Amino acid sequence: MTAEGPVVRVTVRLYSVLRHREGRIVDRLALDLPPGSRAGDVVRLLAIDPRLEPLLAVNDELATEATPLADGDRLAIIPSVAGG
Amino acid sequence: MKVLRANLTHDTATYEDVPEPWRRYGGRALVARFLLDEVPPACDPLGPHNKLIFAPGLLVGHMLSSCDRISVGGKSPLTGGIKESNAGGTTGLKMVWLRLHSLIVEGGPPPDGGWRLLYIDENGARLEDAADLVGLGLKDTAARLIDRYHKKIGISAIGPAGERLYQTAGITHIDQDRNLTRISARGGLGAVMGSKRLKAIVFDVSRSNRPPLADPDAFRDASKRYLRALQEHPQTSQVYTFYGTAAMVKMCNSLGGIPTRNFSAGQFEDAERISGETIHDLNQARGGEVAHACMPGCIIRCSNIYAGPDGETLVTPLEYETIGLMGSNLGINDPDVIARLNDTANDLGMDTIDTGAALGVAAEAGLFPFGDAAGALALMDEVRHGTPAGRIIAGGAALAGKVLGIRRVPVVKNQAMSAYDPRAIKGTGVTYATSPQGADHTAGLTIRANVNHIDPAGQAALSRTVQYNMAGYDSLGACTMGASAFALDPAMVPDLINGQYGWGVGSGYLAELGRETILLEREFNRAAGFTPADDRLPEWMTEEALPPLDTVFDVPAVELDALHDG
Repeated sequence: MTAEGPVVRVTVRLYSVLRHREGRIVDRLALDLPPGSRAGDVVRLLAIDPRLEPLLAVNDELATEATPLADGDRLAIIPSVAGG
Repeated sequence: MKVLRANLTHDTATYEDVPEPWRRYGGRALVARFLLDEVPPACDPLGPHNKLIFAPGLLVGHMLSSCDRISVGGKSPLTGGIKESNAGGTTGLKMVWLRLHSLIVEGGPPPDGGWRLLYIDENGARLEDAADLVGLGLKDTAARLIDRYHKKIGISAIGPAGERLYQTAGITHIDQDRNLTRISARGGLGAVMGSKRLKAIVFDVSRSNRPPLADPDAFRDASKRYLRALQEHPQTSQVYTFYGTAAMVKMCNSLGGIPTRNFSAGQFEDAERISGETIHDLNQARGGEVAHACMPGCIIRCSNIYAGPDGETLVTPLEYETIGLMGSNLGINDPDVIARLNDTANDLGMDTIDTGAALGVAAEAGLFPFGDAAGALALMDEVRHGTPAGRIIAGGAALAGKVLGIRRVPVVKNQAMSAYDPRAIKGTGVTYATSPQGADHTAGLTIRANVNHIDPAGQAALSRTVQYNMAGYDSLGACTMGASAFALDPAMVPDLINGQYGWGVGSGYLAELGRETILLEREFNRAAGFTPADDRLPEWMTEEALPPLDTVFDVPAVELDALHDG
């Protein structure tokens, strides 16, 4: 994805069923986002089903949809599961 | 429906009417009622006065997805208190098709000191000599029994672990694909069965014989709503199907709560290598089954058959708790090694949680270095051969800690914690502390809740709600995987119960059943000598901060004490 003007490049790591995209396994996406983007913007951009109640982490730290994203950040999106 | 009572002392198997007070109970609730009615709480768990009960849940018998679980119960030799341990497989279904409300195993050993097999079909039940099965692992036990009878029998059996009275011994049930690996693992109930010298139970019924329905239309309507909810929800139709419980590895690691090197850290640097995603990809490439149903009729199929590099089955199933306790907890980052440890435990008929926790304690004591796959496998081989070192592991984590002089032992009521460090997932810590079952992964996990898991505030109330719901589901024979569908429509469970039994229960039925069950369990434990001091996490977990979150377990004790009495 590309955006006009200044961008922040974020690597998105997808887990579990979020890896299943268009008939193949995609673990990582590189996204160019407008400055000021937050983790929740990526969740919406990727049209992630809210019923998956995804857990978010930025650079291995737990995050929320409001967590701001900076250039070079790694965002992990992990569908919630209930237990073993 | 009848109660079947097998008395090993007298070598008899007799049918009885269901006592009136038991008629509205099944599964875990029936275990609690039964133990209070028939088992002296102070008895020796491995003596003749302890009894086992096999209790299908209230919804079992219809092949309703994820709702055919069997509960096994008795006084636990591991905890000294009440124990209910439920599993999938076909035992619950076959019992109901044989019109068994419950099966009680009592007395023992037999007068000649020999081993027995209990055979049940539509014409009756009898105890047979089982000398030829003694010493066999569960794979060979299944093969021999299928050869003797036929391939559609149900089997519940103990392995060498149960025969040797290991406190980590479970009772294992066969699935519809003839894998004898679905284990009622926790609390040492296999040792109770072994103490009575009952090696196996065969349930011989092939044809469907679903129980009658009080209101077939209402039951069918509720069933359809339930199935539709399972099919439409992405967790039950996709996440669990493709990744199973192993999807928890990444989630729990991210929350800083995956047991690592004997619960000394909450994040494992090699979590990706043992993650659900890695296991899914490996298994798919090798030709294993990434989606496998542990019960007939289950459409979630969260289980798997994990293949090795040669494409042959290494173990079935490979699931999260085992990955945590026999993987990150040992510093082991190779799924194939975890699978081999798991397979040995399966064949011996052992709880992988307590065994894995004991191995972690052993590693801390220096019996093998963390991360040393060969060392862990060698110690499991000692378990198989029954050497003194192997028996220390087979006694569970609490025993291993005492023998080896280790204080960092992750147990409550002597039972090992599952793969959620309670300092990072504090609601689950409350469950571990206050469940009458001891630290148990089926008693009420809270990791799914949308809360700050390291904030102690509110965790007690959260745990109480989840504990009641889980005790309710375990009394219905419903798997926790179906809970997300039930949660969407609070009328679904009452509608199913009313459709089957016509009891006219209301919307609060599930939680009320769960609460009643837990109060019965606490009554048994109190009579067995338990006090509030038993409702605590190990003291070191309140003092030793868990990296990287740097958090201790700090839910106030007063909240633990008030949890079930409020």
